[in-house]
Amino acid sequence: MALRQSNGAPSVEQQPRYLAEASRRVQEQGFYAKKACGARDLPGALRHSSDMLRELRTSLLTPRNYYELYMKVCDELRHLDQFFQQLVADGTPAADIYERAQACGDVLPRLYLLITAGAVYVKTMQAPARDILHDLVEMAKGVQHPMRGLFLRHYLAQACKDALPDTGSKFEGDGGDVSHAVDFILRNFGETNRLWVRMQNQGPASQKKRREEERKQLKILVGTNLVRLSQLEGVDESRYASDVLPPLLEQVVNCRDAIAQPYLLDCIINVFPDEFHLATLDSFLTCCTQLRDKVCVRSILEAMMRRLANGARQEDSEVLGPPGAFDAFDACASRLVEEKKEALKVADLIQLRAALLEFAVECYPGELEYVQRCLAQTSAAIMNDVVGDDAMELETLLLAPVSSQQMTLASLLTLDDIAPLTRRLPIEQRKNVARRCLRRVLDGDDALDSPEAVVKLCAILEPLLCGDDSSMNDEALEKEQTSVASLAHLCRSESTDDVFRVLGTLRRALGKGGSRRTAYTLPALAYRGLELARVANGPEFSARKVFQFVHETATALAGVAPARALRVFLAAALEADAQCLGAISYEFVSQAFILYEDELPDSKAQVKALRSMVGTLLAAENCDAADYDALAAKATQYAAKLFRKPDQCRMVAACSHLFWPPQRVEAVEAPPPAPAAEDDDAATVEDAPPPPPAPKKEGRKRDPKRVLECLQRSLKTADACMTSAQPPISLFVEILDHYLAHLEAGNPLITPKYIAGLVALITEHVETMEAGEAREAVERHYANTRALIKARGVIELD
Amino acid sequence: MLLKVVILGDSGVGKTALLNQFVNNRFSTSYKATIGADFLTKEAFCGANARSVAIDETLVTLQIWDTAGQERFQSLGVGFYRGADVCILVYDITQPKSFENLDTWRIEFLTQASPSDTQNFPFVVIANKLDRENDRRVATQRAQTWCAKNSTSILPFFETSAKAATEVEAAFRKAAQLALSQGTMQADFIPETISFRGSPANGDSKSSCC
Ligand SMILES: Nc1nc2c(ncn2[C@@H]2O[C@H](COP(=O)(O)OP(=O)(O)OP(=O)(O)O)[C@@H](O)[C@H]2O)c(=O)[nH]1
Ligand SMILES: [Mg+2]
Repeated sequence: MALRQSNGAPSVEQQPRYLAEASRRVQEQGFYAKKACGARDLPGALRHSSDMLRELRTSLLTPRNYYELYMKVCDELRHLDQFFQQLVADGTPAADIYERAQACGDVLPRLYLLITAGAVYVKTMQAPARDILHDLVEMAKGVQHPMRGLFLRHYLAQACKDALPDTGSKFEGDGGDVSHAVDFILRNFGETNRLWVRMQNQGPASQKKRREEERKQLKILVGTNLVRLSQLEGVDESRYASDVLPPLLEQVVNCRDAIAQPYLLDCIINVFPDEFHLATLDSFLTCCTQLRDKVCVRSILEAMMRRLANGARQEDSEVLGPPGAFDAFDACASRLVEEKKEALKVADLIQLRAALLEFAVECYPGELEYVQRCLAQTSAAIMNDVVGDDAMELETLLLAPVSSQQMTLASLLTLDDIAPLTRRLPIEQRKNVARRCLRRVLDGDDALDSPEAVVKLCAILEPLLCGDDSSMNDEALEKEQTSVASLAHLCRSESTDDVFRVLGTLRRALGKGGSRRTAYTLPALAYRGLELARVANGPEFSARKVFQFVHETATALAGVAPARALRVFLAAALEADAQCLGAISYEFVSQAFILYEDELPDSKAQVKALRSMVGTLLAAENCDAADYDALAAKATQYAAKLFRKPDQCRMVAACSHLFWPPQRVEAVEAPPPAPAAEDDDAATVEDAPPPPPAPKKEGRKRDPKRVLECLQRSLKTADACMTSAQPPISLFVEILDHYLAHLEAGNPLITPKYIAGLVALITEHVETMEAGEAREAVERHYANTRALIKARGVIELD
Repeated sequence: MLLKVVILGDSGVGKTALLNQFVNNRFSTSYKATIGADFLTKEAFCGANARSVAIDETLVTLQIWDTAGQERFQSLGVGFYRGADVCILVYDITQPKSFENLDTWRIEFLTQASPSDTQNFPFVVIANKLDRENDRRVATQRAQTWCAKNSTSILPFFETSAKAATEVEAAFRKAAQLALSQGTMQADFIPETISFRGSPANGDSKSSCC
């Protein structure tokens, strides 16, 4: 039976069978051993256990399967351990058991038994821990077969983990102290590592690949020793620096093994805490310069820096970089670049700088100089545009400063290398950097308070602000540009003059975006301008100047999004009106009216715009009477000319209110309650605390006759609609509401007679309607209106 | 009675921290990676039935296996999953990725441990780092939905903080109770032929070089 393949490798197909058979024998012997334990038969327990342990002498299994078998054996050995403890508790001297275990013939089983007994010996306090541990770690040298030895030593570390004279443990004192615990683990580690490295050179050269594969699987057996070291209570920063790390690093350097070196350093980085690393960075980095050529030092440095950066990112962490640590990394990196110039690819180089940069950003948030240095080094290394891996690494590098929580906007903008570096990237990645930057800046909400800041920021954001946008669909573009537009809200400063300058600069930058972008960005700029107009008080830029800015912006917008521009004009008109800047207000309204006439795309947009226009006119309390009359008449004309009859009908009715505008407070006859809101508004225009003198101008006039004309015209239009397939009865109810409103407002021409007529008409029409949703809706509305009529006692209802 | 508990989840979610809190009542803020797998034991009184009163309680030894979340520190495979009586899946509420990976952990566990009844094998889900509520990025609701989707019965879910010792005890107790009530204890090995002398080992002594 060929148990091994001709080349000496464990046969792959046979693995399940080998493992099953060995496991069965382990279970069988384990069973007898357990029985013997139950019968308190020490010789029997030892004999069966040693038979079981003999299975671990197999060479048929791959490392993973050997591991499985080993775990099964360990499970069984735990019963033996308990049995030993029981015996000692019942009076058998632990030394006897230890002695008996030594009697077993075969080396491997004997050592497993000895370790089990030795651990009990120590744990029952019948021998000093330091002596037994020393014994065991020395005796384990008896197994020189690499795989068996590695597992044996793993068992040693595992079985003795609760038997170490660590600080605070019960073995401290007579059993030694933490230095003995450290010594024990270091010795075991040294031997483990030696066995592991030796595997590389055993057997034929043709098997090198397979051996390397096996070694890589076995590596955790070496690493767990380091975990044990890191778990020792007595190892603090200073002991780590003096007694632990130096021998570890010596091993690393001296083993001269290209697989062991990076792995061990990776373990060291991962299992020991940040504080230890920061305290010993120099020795660690020195070691990094003494490794085999094949070892990728870059990824080791990176792993360490990333770990430290991560630690610093944690909440309430104290892991900020100590002075010098950055320089140490930087020096090490530079030396690496210098020495391995040929071997290092551009991507490697960028990756190295990226790790350094991330480290600087997270651990030294105050030291911009470090970040600048990393960026400058990167710039120097990149001569051309990058693609592929290089681009990916550069993107990662740039994202570190651009999206870090640690960077304020002001700090970010001192990094002059960022914008040129982004230009090296392919457009999509460049956009990604810009997007992340934008998001970070908006989240951070730091003020953009100078034109220079705007220019610098826009240089980074450039791919979002201008250029070809044909590849983006409308939705994506809207989302993106809405974010861009939010920059307008960051334009803040103590001085309104500064805000104005910043806003102007931003407008120039965003203005280059082309029509699809500016449709979203210009409105935000204009509205921010209106906010500014309310408070502008600078020596250089008055509210008038700001209104001019808004005018220009809205005019530019009119070409790309007329409906939006119209709303901006109206909002501006109201703001100007509130500041009693009548001429300016009138100009804005006129612009809106012109847009209405010339630019609106369809009747739906017209109706919407017209509603806003009527609303604005009604709210413009300070409007000059003559101007107002002209605009009101114009709006009513527009209403009458709307394309759809129902729209005409509704809007003409709405226009009726233009001829009965709310009166300015002082024009109302009865003394009104204190108009708090109006005073507030006025107070912001000038800073004088007492109420400002009301403008001595003639207020807007009321014209009862025009009101009635509008309503009647509206009624007539509604009537004309009655011939359509679905007569819009609801229009009549709406008109009735307008009548009622005017009646309440005190228009002398609107009498209950009209109301009664309409009520009769509607009641009759509703009756003829088909049952259904439409009728229900009308009835509901009508019922409300009737309730109102009743409540006010306008007319008698049946 | 020995109950085997396996605790899984991404690196850094706090598996070791939870275990340390449960077994030693300790917490450390510094991260020390786990390499390979290692267990801690703790004895506890525990009832198989959630409603059971103290009378039903038995003393059990929990053997809790802490594992490495980083794949490269698990190079010898996961042979130690086998024989587990319950599995605890942990994620970090501040790391959505660690939550998304629960699926992978669960499936890998079921494949590798191959318990007899995959459908009803008991899991407990732990959302750790509750003390960092301000940095939360995985909504409780999301996790509960996941639990409902992945179990025919209720999958117990705990939000814990290893740091503040919140709900840690409760989560482990629940795990122990599930393991106990499952009764998935493996049948003891029974040899085919009972001989008075143990059968001689037949290890491959030729290739030995000890
Ligand atoms: N704030 C907070 N931090 C925690 C909590 N639990 C763990 N941590 C921290 O999270 C980090 C990782 O915890 P570990 O327990 O080592 O993580 P792990 O899951 O064992 O990681 P691996 O061993 O790599 O798989 C450590 O720095 C802990 O201090 C918690 O509940 N709250
Ligand atoms: Mg861990």
